Amino acid sequence: MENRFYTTTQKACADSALAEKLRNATDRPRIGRETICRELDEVERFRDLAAGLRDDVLANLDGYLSDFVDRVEAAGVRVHWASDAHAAQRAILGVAREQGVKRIVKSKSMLTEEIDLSPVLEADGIEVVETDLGEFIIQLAGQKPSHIVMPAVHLSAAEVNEIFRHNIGYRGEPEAEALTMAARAHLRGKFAAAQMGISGVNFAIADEGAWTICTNEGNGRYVAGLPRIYVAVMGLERIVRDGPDAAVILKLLARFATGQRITQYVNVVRGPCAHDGPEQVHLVIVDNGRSRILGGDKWSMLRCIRCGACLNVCPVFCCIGGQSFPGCYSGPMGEVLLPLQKGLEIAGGPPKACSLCGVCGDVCPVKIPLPELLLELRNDLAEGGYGSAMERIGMKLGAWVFQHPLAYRMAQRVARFGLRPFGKKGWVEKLPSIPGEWTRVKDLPLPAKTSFLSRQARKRGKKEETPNG
Amino acid sequence: MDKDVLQQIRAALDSGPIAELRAAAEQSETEPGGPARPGSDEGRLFPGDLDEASRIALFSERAESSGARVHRAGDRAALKAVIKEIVGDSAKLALAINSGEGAGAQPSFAVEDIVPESCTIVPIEDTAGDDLFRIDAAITDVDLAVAETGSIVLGASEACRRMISLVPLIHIAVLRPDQIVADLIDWAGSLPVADAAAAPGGLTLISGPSKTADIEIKLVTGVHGPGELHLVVIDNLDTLGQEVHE
Repeated sequence: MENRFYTTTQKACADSALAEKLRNATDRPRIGRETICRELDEVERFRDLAAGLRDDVLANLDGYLSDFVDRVEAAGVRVHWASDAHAAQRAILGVAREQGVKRIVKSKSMLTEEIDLSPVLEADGIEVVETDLGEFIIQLAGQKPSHIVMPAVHLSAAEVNEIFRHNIGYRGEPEAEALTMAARAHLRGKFAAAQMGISGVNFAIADEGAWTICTNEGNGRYVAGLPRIYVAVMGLERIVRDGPDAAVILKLLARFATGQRITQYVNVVRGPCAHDGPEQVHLVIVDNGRSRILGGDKWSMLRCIRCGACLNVCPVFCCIGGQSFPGCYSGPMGEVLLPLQKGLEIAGGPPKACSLCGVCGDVCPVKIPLPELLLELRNDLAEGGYGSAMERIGMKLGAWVFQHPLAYRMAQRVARFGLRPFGKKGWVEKLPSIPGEWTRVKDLPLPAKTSFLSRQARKRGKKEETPNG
Repeated sequence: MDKDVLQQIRAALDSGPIAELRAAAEQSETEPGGPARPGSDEGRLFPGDLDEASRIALFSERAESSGARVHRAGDRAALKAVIKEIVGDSAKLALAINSGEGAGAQPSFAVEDIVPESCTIVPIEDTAGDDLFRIDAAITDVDLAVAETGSIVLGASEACRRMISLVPLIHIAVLRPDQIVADLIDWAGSLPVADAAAAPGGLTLISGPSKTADIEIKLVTGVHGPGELHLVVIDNLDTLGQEVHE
């Protein structure tokens, strides 16, 4: 089950340049978030507020969603419901075929990654161009995103330079600003020629009959404004009640994602527009497992607003990056969402990668209990029989030892002397036979020569000898 | 198809563990004093009645920190001087001034009042036209501004205000002090609820220049939209407007 995830993770761990890039990439938004959140003077109050309004929406999702759909339809938007990825692909391909679309520009959308949209359109002979700079780079490189907010953080300017040289004939300096300007020039032609724009939806606003696209680059504005046809793809849970609730989410989204007060551009779409906007607007509302998650015990995962704050603090993500994960989502939110969407059989590996430090739960702006959900998923894995027989026996034995003080002390003694021959500079990295299964994925600190308790006992003994000292 | 997805949602809400939350929410609605859902006014960071001087100061500080440049202009001549300083003498300009729907909501200028004589005005009738990509700078008015985030709000307009404010490397927006609201919550309260006719197409909040950090987390401005955003706060605008109308 987890072999592939294990292999990709091992490879990522061995890549020290990747770790350096990930640290660099996650430090900035993490420090930015910490700094800017001081302005909220009571961050907790805001997190409670946001969690509360997300819960209200989820608990009454049917009502909010049908009100929203009535309103956007009245404004001339054509709404398509898609129960799974395949239905969503078909709906969008259907619009493209019906309208004779040959060229599409896209702004970054994790949902379109989730439903694997681009390959289906490309197979039909349609040119699909990603226009977010990071997505554009990884599209040219034929890779998948390494971070849900910053998809190309695993690539250096030198690597981007190579990709641009081969794919768009770039001949400038291998340096961020020049590369960015080359992408600007290249993509203007694509915007101007596109017949259709596709974007995701950050959140819909039920009372307003509108939805938002947040971008810093402005590509979301192009995609939803310049081509004749605009298609928005929305996860069915991405909705808030009204304008003030939208304002609360906006206040938190950028602060937690990148340490900004608000993204540079927030586009609020209400429908087609005879001038200054698209003639035809389609909205595809995607389920793809979400209603099943809503009905289960881990429904709180649907509060997620995709800010990526949990990725930037996760010690595991900061070592392995997003490309190791069996899906487009990664970090703590991906470790929970992927198994819920794809099942434990396919995506049971990620929850086990968690080190249980709990920081993701502390930074989530909508208070998703990520550490608890990860533990529950591990429990589901054990109870669902996904672990090995040896693991089950080992855990049972361990539980028994922990419940019996005498056995526990004996085991400690065995470990203290038994592990010493395998120790190197205070760590045990490799054990033979069955215990080797443990050291295959984790290093073990070499136990101290004497236990804490026995040292305390010795100290106490000395104190009693010299009561005045 | 739609019945399918909505029915799946209803089934989940009726039978899943979330049903408890739904029941509790329904109860609090019927019982006054119950654990009510928090009001969004709690998400306010600045009082709605913040005085004008504080609103301008906050707006300027926040917009500058997002990378915009804020200018003050006391009269038309000063505005013209600011524009000339930014675009130079020979720029190709697109204008969307006096473009709002609400009467009296927008600053009123004649083009010759504010644009350097030697600049070219490019008429943008059709957003799909190539002309759009030839302009050097756009000058627009705004519908509203938000002090908390240093944002301006542009609705769709017949002058293609939103498109022309995106394409060139320079965007100059002209606004009045009384158009600045304190908090994002005030902006949200100003939205025309479910009235698509009141704001067809939608609107855009702009808070600084176009930017990216996708290559090595190095900040670069002007990736797709303008690399420079100039916000010119105009004083005494009502007087100016009247002069132009007469």
